[in-house]
Amino acid sequence: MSERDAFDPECWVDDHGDALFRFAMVRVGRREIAEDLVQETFLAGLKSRDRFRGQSQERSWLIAILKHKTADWLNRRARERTQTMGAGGDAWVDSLFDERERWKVPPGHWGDRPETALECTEFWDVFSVCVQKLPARLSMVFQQREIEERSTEEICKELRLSPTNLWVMLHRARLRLRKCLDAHWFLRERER
Amino acid sequence: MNVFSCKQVAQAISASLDRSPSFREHVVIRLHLMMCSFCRRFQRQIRFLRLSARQFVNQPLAKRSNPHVNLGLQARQRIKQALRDREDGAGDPAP
Repeated sequence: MSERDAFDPECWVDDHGDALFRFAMVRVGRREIAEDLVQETFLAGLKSRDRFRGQSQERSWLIAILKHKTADWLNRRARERTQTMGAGGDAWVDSLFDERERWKVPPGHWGDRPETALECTEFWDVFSVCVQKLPARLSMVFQQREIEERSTEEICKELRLSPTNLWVMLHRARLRLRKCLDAHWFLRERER
Repeated sequence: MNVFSCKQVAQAISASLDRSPSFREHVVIRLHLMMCSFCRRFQRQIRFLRLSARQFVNQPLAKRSNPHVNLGLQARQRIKQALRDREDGAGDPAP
């Protein structure tokens, strides 16, 4: 009885909310979706809470629920997307090349030592914004592959993508990110 | 052996970050890169993207200035409310 009284949803959300949110955010790439998934997770957790009294495992138990919820959402969405989009063309990518598939606007020069940008706080602000600005699905695969360093096999399995589909999506994400960094960081550097 | 266009080479360079290229692909890319400074530049730049992405994780959260890392205040309140409602709704277990 006392344990039930001791349970406080306020603390629960404060203790685990941010961690769950980050987990979801990296996968779904959209704030409102991630928030909904976190809420569903807590509600589902409430139902079976009595079976999980071990406080130390509470976080991983919640993450496990969230993992399921996130995977469901992604699969649903992937199915909807493959119907409308597939691995079809990407007009934005096409616009980078001329009719003979040569660079229409060639990649600009990033200086002899672009790594020096990594020392600048402002560079990371730009980088962060550019990643967020990618179309949601591209942002998600990019973050999973490049920031979380997950294997392509894992990502394909979780999102039910074919390897070719994933390579195409990663390429599209890189082209966009390259362009965004070029426009918002390196171009300014060149003009300095 | 047909020659890849810049568009195809860019895709192949990108894919080589995710899987090892076939021998043929490797040769075609090398030949193209010998002649095309734009694609060489593209290759350097997407390698730089990978380097940046891997260091991004190590940036302190404040530096990442990412508004998405924490659950928003509104969402937090909403979730707490939903939990309270659910608890009240469930009521106390029957004696």
